[in-house]
Amino acid sequence: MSVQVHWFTEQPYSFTTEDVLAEHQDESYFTLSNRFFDPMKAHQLYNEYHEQYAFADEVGFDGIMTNEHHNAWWCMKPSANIDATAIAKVTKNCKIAILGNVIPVTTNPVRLAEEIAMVDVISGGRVISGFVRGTPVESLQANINPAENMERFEEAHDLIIKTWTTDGPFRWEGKYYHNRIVNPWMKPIQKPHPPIWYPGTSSVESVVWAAERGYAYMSLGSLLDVAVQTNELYHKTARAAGHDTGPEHYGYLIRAFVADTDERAYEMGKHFMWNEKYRFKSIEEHADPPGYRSRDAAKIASRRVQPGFGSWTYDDLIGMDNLIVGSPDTVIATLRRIRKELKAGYLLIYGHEGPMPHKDVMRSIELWGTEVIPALKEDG
Amino acid sequence: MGQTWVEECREYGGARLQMMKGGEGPPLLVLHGAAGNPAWMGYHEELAKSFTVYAPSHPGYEKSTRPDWIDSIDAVAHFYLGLMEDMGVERYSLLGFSMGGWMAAEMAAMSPHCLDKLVIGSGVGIKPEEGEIAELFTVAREAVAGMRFFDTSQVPNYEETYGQPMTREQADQERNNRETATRWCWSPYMHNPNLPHYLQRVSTSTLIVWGREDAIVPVECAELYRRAIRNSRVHIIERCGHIPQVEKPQEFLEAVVPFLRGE
Repeated sequence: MSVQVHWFTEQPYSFTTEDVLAEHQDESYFTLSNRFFDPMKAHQLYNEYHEQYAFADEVGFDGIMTNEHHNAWWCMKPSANIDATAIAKVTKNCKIAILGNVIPVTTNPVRLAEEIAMVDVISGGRVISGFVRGTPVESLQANINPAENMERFEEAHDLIIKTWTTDGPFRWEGKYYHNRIVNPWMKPIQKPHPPIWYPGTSSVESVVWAAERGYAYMSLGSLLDVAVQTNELYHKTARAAGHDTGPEHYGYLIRAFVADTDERAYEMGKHFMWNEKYRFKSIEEHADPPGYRSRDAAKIASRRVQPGFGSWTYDDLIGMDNLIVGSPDTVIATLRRIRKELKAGYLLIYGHEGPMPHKDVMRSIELWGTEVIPALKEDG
Repeated sequence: MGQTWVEECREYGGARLQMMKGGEGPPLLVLHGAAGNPAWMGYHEELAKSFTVYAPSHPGYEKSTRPDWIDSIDAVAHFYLGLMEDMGVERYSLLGFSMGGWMAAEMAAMSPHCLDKLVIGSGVGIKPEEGEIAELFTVAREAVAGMRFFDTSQVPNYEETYGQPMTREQADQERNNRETATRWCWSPYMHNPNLPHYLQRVSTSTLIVWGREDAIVPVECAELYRRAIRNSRVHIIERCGHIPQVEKPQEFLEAVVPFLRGE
């Protein structure tokens, strides 16, 4: 399999300005009042983002990745499945990587199984279904007990898989979910079900969970050396569990912007730092509420000092190969260097952020399609 | 004078329970609030002069383990009713603070015949009609600490008890305690909509104690408990916050001890 390249944007509400954030955002990003949201402006942004999706498909991206966050001015996707439906209708060929549905915060996993199956049917079988525990904020906004997150995740996962793979009607009586008659008419095209991917930020628990089940792991934006370690842990664990895993089980998400010249790309890439000091702002009770992690994991985390994103400058991140900007040649050379260290079958290109002008993003997508992706595919 | 209490470990219902026990006299079960049960406090010592005081750490708190089934306040209420029976204590008085007050009220509704007297101190459990029970889980812990007392200068030994930085082990303990409270009180937040109805059958003689300036559970809840429990009365402590037994222990004990002794 040659490398598969996916397009990704958070779909930010890019009209959010630093002066508003400085004055009105108090404890954490998700408490900024939604009175600063203008739906007509969002309408305009959605249209641009969907044009970008259509163009990415046209120029040769293998897939488009979507995701879900709530109460977030930096991500206008409260439903990954609705965005996936939009992708299905504005594209013809590319995969639709839903990374992912926040399954522990739903009250009805069968409904999610139906929706994902529906997108698979609408798109002609192009869905990749990712499942996530979500950031703790996704639990808080849904008022789902954070201490139940992991157990809910596992039970919702089992119920969704069973819904896709077992003829109904059947009954489900679990700890958190109780469905007397599971028999949705809608089932996915892909058999036994769409591929399951597990996106995460490299916590050991999440890597092991995915590896034991042989689900492809997507490392979301970790530093390269962490991603390399995670990759080793993943394959070691997966093989011990009897799965024959390779690069097609590992993906890496990285911020990258291509322009005609290095100078232009460097200027545009500064938008990756858009409102950064507010985007990750969170009190501990929101970032890591009681019970969200196991007692052992919380104890270990409390004794580890980690330099966080937010403490590095734009130039630091470029120097660490955590953010790539440049002409096609520069970007190709950097990605080749990264792929030498990290055997990842998927590159998830986080190619847009903040108020990057639409026309520059479209030109970037074109350069990805005409120059960068073909060069990467030559490497295998 | 040596230590007047002992620490015991009891196994029941799949839990291994850590319990402080001291004093002599009729049995009194003391149920702590959401923050935990860190020490044998002055009020325990005073109560132990008249009663055999049982002060367990709830399952999931401190060194007590929590089996999966104890996943709600009513589950822990069932647990304590069973535990007391298992210990051979058939009739006892019950004193519960804050979250422990809610447990005590549920226990009274489940098994009123077990109880001699009931004291609810600043209890959650009933939804206020005017105000709200303060948010404790999704706000910074410093903000929670700031809501506990009306005036820290009137808290005996405040600096020694509350003014020291936490050790890592204390921080672990606090996080684990919060996890347990989160499991039990998340939604509906800190109350059971049916509790006032359940309390209709309780005829136990009941004292409801509250600080007038409670910033966590509005003082109106004292009146709501009084309305729900027919044989009850309210004692309000002026210029006092959420934890009268610590902020104004003298006044608290002057109200509670004679009541429990039936004087």
